[in-house]
Amino acid sequence: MAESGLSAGEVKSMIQEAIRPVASKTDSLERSLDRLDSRLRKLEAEMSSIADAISSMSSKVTGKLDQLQETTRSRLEVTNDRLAEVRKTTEQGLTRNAEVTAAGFTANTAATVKVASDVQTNTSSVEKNTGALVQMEVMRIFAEGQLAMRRIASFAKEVDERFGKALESVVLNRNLYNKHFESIYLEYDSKLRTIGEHIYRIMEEDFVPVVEVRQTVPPAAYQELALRVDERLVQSRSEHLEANLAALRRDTLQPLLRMHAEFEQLIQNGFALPLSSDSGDELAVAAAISVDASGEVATTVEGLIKEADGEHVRFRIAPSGRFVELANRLQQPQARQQLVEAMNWVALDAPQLASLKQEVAQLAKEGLISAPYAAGLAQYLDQFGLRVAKASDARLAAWR
Amino acid sequence: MPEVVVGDRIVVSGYSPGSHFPRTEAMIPYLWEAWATKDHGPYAIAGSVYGRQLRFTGPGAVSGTVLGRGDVTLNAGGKGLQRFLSGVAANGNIGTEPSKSGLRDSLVGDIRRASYVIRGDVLANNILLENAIVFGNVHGLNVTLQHCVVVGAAVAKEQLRLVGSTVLYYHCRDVQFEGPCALMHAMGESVSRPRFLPYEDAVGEVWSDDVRYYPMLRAEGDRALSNRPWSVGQAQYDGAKLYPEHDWVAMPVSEVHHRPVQGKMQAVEVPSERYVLSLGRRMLNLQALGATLTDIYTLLKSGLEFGHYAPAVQHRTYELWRSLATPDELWILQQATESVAASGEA
Repeated sequence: MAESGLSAGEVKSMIQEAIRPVASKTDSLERSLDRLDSRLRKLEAEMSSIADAISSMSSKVTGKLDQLQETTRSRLEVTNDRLAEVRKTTEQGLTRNAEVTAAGFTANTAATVKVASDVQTNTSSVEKNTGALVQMEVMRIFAEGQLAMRRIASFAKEVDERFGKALESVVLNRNLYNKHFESIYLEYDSKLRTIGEHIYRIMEEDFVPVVEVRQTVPPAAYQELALRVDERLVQSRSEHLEANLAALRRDTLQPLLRMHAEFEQLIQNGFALPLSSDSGDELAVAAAISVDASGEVATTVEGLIKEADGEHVRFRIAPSGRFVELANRLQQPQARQQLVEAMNWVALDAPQLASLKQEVAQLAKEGLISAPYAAGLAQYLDQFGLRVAKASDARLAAWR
Repeated sequence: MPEVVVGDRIVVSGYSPGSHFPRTEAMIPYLWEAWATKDHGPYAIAGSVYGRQLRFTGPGAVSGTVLGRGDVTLNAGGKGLQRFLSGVAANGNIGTEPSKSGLRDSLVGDIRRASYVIRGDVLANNILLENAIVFGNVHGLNVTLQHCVVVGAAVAKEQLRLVGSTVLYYHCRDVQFEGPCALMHAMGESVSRPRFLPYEDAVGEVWSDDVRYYPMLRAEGDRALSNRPWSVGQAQYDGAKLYPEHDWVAMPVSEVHHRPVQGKMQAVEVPSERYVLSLGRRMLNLQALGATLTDIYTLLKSGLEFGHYAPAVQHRTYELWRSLATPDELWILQQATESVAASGEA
């Protein structure tokens, strides 16, 4: 019988149900990874834009620092030139003063020298202050530039660190993903094995002993003896029948045939007449011929009296079944015509008719024909009479 | 899956497209039941059913195999037909709930009163079927078929009881015919002499023992598949009678037993006897039944192969059945081959 056990589709559906939660976890992890990838890409883009900004800023700052240096240098040169002029002018003035008053102002020489040394001290301190101021200014501007650079550097460093951390987290996530997926596969394998064990346990413990063991017995095992018995009985019956038939033939049929042959021989020896066409011998066969008013001819060769089914008569004349060839020949229209012509028709006279009617009445009295039929026949004879055919020897001889 | 836990039972109602079996260890002890309800109507299970204890209540159909670890109980409740299209098997027992109707009111009186139609084999240790049609074999240790028609073999390792039932042929250790029974094929074998007993049905009517040969009944025309003693009066019915004295033959056989001989297990032939049903002794012209036997063979073969035919061939087979089968045979074939989806129960 068909259809037993779990089909492949059912096992598949069971497996699909088992791995559905596992697959959903895998999907969520994949989605997390995708999000992480996109964030990393955005981070990379931001970092590249920041790097571009840093490079443009650094180029700008460098340009500005260069400008500042140029400006500071030019100012220093100008300041130095001015100081040199002031010194020169002061020296010239002092020298002039010294020359003008040398002769006459000896008392002012010391004061003038003192003034000159004071001026020189002031000049050197001015120079120092101016140089310090310029240097301070340069340092300040340089420090400001360096500050921006340091900020940019720290920002780049921070970006680097973050990128590194992102990479680390990606690696960690990937390891975690592999670990989870491995556990998913293990769980899938174990569930598949569990389901398989369950299926095979059902098959081995329930299906095989209940269904398979019984169904593997071929039907022939239950039918063989009955079929052999049938065969044997039919064979023995057939042998008995054959033996019976043989015995019937031997004990009954053959003696009958032998006796029949002996009887036929006896009759032939005692009563048979040899017939041959050369000797002109003829055989007389009893036949009844009737011709009705319309000329229809009916012949009955070697008629035997048999019971009739009609209501008026109980007996009829029926052919014996022998002389079939003669009966068939008499059925031919030409033969019938010749036969009729060969007949000598003689009408019954009154005494003969009366005798016939008397015989009919006697038959009705004996119950062999019905009374109405007898009365009707008597009326017919009265009305129409009856002609009887008699064949002459000469005429029959002409008809062969 | 439309399974609902009701107390200690798992109940399925209505249409279920898949198979049913315990998915967890905790579900195994539950009684699994297919239940035809007012709301959902007859149940229709397109898959198979496996469980420890199975019960089918009310009308419905199961397309796949039914395999029970313990017992399988069928209870149509007289409200319709239960159909099992892939056989029913159990490690324990298969039984139908007893009905209160007599022989005349069962499928013996009218085949359409059957409560169960099973296509496939019925396999279990102890089998008790009442008012059931099995288009397959029945195998068990002890088998009781009451008011049943089994278009197949009834095989019992121990005892077989046929109570107002018709089988194709039988094979068992002990056989008992109760009431009017019929055999579709005059073939049977038992170890002990068959017993023929009268039978009193649930309404108190007593039926004398009577076994008939179905092909001879069928040759008449639209004879039923069951033996109906109340339809008497025809020569063919009387001519179909099987006689215990003449038609059951005691045949000497030898069995091979393994017995210890001089400390070793050896195969020894032990003479035994079998009682075999055979029409071979009769002066019976089976040629006259040739057309009927050929029809029965054709119907059985096409009915068993039907599921493997292409749809066009199935349609032609239906036409063939309509031309060859009696009304009872046609009804059985249609019920046994109609799928769950086609029947509209889905």
